[in-house]
This record gives sequence, C-alpha cells and structure tokens, in this order.
Amino acid sequence: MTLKKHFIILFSIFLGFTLDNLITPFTNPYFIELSLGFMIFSYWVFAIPEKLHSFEALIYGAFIDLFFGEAVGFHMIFFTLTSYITHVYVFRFRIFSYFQLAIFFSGATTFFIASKYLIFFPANYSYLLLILSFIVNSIIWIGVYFVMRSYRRKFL
Amino acid sequence: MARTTPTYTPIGKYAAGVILSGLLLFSDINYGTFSPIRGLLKSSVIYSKLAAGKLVERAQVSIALFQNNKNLILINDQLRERILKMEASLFLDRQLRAVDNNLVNLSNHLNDLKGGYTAQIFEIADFDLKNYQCCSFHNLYLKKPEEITVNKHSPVASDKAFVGQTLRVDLDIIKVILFSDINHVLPVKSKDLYCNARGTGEPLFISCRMELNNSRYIQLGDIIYTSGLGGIFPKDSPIGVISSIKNIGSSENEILIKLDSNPLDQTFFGIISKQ
Repeated sequence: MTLKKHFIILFSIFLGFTLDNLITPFTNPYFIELSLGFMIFSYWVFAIPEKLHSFEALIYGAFIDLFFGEAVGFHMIFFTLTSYITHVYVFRFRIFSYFQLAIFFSGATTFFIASKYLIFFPANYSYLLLILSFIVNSIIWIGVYFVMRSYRRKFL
Repeated sequence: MARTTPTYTPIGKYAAGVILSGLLLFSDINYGTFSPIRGLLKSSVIYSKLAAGKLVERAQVSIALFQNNKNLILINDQLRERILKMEASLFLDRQLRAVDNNLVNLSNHLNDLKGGYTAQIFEIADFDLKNYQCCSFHNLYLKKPEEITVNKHSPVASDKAFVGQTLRVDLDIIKVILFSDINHVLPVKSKDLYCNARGTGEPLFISCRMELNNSRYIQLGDIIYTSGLGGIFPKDSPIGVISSIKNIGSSENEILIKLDSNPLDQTFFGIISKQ
C-alpha cells in the first residue's frame, strides 16, 4: 500500500479522535462516551484486512498515542489486538448482518473504553457509562460503516 | 460443516507488538518516558488551533468591517479583556501583598530569605475539556510570551483564588495542573484542620481524609485556606469551603472541599513566581 493511502487512513482516524474530543464533553454528563476514532480504525481493519497488519496497527496506534493519548502504548496495544481478532475472524464477519457487526464492534469499543477508564481514570469507572456507551456506539457504528465505506470507495 | 473459512494469521508479530506496546505503556505511565514528546506535540496542536482561531477571528473582523461594526467590536473586546486582566491583577496584587507581608515578618528573623516575587498574567491557550468533564486528569494550557520565564511548580491563580500550579513548559505553552486533578495534592488548613487535600477527579472538588478525632470540630461551610506547607503556595489564601463530611469506615472522615474559582469561567490566569 502506498504512503498516500496510509495518510488517507490515518487522516480519517485522526478526524475520528478529534471529533471524540469535541463531542465527548457534551455527552459525558449523560454517561455516554463515543469512540469514533477507534471505530474508524476497526472499520479499516475490517474493510481491508489484507493491507493492514500488526505493523500498521502499531504505527497508527503510536501516532494516536502521541497526539491524543494519555500514555504511549495504550492505543498501540488495542489497535494491535483489534487487528489480530479482526484478521482471525475476517471471513466470519463477511457473513455477519449489520446488526451483528454493530454488536461486535460496539462491544470491542466498549471494552476499549472500559480498559481506558481502568488504566487511567479508575475513580471515574462506571458501569452505567459502559452500558449506555455500548448502546449508543452500536447505533453509531452503522453510520460509521456507511460513511467510511463511501470514503474508502472515493479515496482509496 | 465449519461455519468459517480458515484464515492464516500468524500470532508472532501481533504478540511482539502487544508486548512492545505493553512495555512502552508501563514505562510511560510509571516514568513519564514519552511525556516530553507528547508535550511538544500537544503544544504544536494548540498552536495550530490558535492559528486557526486567529484566521477565524480575522474573517469575523472583515465581515464586521463590511457591516461598519468593526470598531465597536474591537472596543468591546478590548474593554472586556481589560476588565478580565484587571480582575486577575487585583487578585494577584492581593496575593503578592500577602506574600510580601509574610516575607517581611520572616525577614525580621531571616533576612536572607526575603526573595522577590513576580506576578504575570497569561491568556488561556487550551483547556482539556474532555478529561475535565469526564475523568481524573484536569489540565489547562496558557500562552507564554517568549521573553518571560516561568518556573515549574509555580502557583496559578484566577481572579478569585488559586486554581493550580504549573507543570511544564513546551514550545511556550505552559501546562497547568488544576487542584481537582487526582494527582494533585495541596496542603490546606481551616481553623481546626490541617491536611493534604487531593484532587477528586470531579470538577471543583478536592478532598481530605482525616481521623474522626481530628475532624470532630469541622463544620460544613468552613472556609479552607492554603497552609503554605508545601512550599509552593503562599499561606492563608482562601481556596474553597467544606461542602460535605462523609464517614468512611469506623475511624475516618472524608472532607469534601468545593473550590471557589471555576477555571472554566476564566480567560486570564496569573502565575506567581520567584524572580
């Protein structure tokens, strides 16, 4: 894959995390945390698994850690793990319905959010936040899926 | 019949990636290995935001010029900024006088300890609103003119009270840790209370844990002052009031202190530092 395509992918992930930073202060009082950046990364691995492997996940994670993270390594770990699981089950995902995909990727996102709270903000860990975030993220995943699919078809 | 097509995904590289990331995460959390790099990047992002903001501002001024309102808007902005600066400098003057008084008293005994203090006013560059609303890390960033030097661990004040202390300076952006950050500890006192108040991770709240015997004369609404014991903040500066007293366990009380100054309401902050 060319460097330009990597930039296109990284740009979309950056945009996702930037949107997260802008939206989350307004959703947090209602115990909802979006993770658009993580869902966008998950979409890319799901959509083009043959082009995104462990190394790419590691590098993307490092960039996100440096610009948006609380500590270097956190996004690297989760991007690599997500990439691995998606690669292992990539053909099973192909026969999943949108609903099943939404449940899986929202679950992965919720696990990501839960781990972030447990590692960095244990005092603010809340099950209500996780449950509500799971529901909202599963709805948002459908939107992310279609928007990212048209973005991929246009630019990649 | 198998429901999935077998895929070949060698785990070795992924495992190596996870182990490497884990090591980096451990070293960054425990030793802050990458915090200088992150600080630099964060500062560059803030600069880009400020530059974008300036562009928008210029566009707005151009539009206003087109509508013959430019002068009024400018005068209004200047007056508003001047009022905010005056409020901040009044508070700083009060604090400096208190510091000077303390130093004068002290100098009767120890003349050589009387060091000069300076107070400077800085405009806010960025506020980490996401973490402030949801999580335990509460930081704000101030713009520093090139010619001014700011030391680490200097007190930061708004127009009402102290709000935090400086953490680091990257690319002329000063990172400030607020009192409510869970990692911040502030020695405070009241009439019958001396304790180290830790940030709760909730906006505007810090808390003290005390033994029941030591906290029995404390009441809701008592004013809390800085004790000056940490060597960073001048003593006897009011920072908040006791908002609740909770019994935790058989022998301990948690005293919740509501801070007077809300950093979200401020545009300018003052930093007191030794010359």
